[in-house]
Amino acid sequence: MHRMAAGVGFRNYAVLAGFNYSDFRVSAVGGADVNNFRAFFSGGDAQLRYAFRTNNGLAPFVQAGFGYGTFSSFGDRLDAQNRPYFAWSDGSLRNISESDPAAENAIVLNRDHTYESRLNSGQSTIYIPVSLGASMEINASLSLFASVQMQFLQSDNIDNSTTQSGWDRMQSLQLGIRFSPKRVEKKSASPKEPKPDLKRFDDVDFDALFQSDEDGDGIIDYYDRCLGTPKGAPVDVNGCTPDSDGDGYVDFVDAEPDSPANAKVDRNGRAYTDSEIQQQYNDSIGLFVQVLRKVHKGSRPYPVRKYIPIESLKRYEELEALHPEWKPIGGGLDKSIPAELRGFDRNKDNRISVYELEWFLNAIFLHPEGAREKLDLLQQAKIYVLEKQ
Amino acid sequence: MCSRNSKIALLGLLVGCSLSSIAQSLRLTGGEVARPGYTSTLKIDIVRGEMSGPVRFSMPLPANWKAEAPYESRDASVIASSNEFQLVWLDFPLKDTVRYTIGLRLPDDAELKPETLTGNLAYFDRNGSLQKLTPASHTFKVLRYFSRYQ
Repeated sequence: MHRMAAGVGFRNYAVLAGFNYSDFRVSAVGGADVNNFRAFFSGGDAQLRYAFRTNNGLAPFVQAGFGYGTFSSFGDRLDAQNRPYFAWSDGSLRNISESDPAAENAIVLNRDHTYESRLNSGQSTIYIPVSLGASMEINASLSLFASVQMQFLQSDNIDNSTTQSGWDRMQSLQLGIRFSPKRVEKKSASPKEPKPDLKRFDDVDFDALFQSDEDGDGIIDYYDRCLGTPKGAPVDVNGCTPDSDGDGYVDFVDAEPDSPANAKVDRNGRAYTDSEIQQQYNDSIGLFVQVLRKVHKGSRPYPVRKYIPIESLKRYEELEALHPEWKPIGGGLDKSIPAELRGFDRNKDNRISVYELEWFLNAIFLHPEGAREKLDLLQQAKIYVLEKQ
Repeated sequence: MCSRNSKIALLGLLVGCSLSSIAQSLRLTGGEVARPGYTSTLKIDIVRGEMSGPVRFSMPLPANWKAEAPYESRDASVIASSNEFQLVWLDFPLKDTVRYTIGLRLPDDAELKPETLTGNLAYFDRNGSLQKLTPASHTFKVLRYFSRYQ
């Protein structure tokens, strides 16, 4: 039997539609009849399958359905010389019946296995296929299966032999391979994203959002990849204005659109020179000391010290190593820090910097036990820096 | 001693300097909405009151939020670590009020929910005792505006 089937599955169930073609022959000799035949059967059926899922890839299944087919049957009733077979009780085939008066003259015939006698032709029947089997998964898309199928035909003519039930039965052992393309997609697809919780956006005015152009560059925010572009700046179709040197200042407002890569720039986008960085560092310490002096003397107003980005200070330290002639201005340069204040010089460079004082102050806030004494010591360090200036 | 606020000081003179100084306080203000991947502005307003000497402001940040330090630190040491933003003053500025404006950069995958930032201000009084002001807070509603690029 040859069978092809296709179907769709849902969970443990599958609906299959298949086509069968069979060419089978039965050669049995016995009783009073020559019971051999060859039959050609073709039919189509629809079946429902239920598979029992297991964790080891083996899935037993049962399958049953309904089909319709046609068949033609032939028998081997004559030998090569067109002499009819007669089955004798001794198991031989003779040219004369055993009950014939001339039986003593009978000669033994040999079967030629040619099914020359038409038993019936082009008959049709409905049939009920029932299968038991199991499939084994090879990979995500392929599996092997084996099953035993019994087809009950509502016809008693396929073998030209009458049975009590009036239904002929065809039994077959099926081995096959099953291809499941959908399972390939399922395995290869990316994991399903969880459904968004749309209730979060109940209070969002989407109409307003889809029409808003926050930076006024003519590209509504929905399409704008660069929100917040400066007013009047030329933008591309994505709402972005170029920043050629990547310093964070777009060319439209950049005083130096081609600053060196990774350069520290001022508020106009212009790169600081090495000497400017040095000056900033010196200014920071100088101003700091000046501030302390004025505060110490109770004078006002309190001047504002420049904020020096820590990146600039790191750059200064790099430059300082290259320029030993540089002498930063500040307190504690004479390597004569009193013993009780040496703890403030955390980096052991023989000077007490503003950052070292602030580091200690932060530590006092975090560990305020005995704060009075610690603050007094901090005050001494500040005065020391003042006097050394 | 009357308040440094000139109007109240004048009033203080008229009523016999019966009014006390303006109390030190802390306030956080900012926009209502913050967006993942963008920077939102937060203003820190400090009324000096009787504070003098060392002062420290600290504000824990939600996971992966980054504080961008103010350009003008106004004599403060700025510490913007990964999970806390701090300002430390050796001597607090002699101004009645001080305002700092900082940027808060939200991560691209910031959780879409209200985030409350709480700022704490502490200082040492004349006796060296640690004093803490009532914490101030501000809540950003984190929303992701729909865009086909997001």
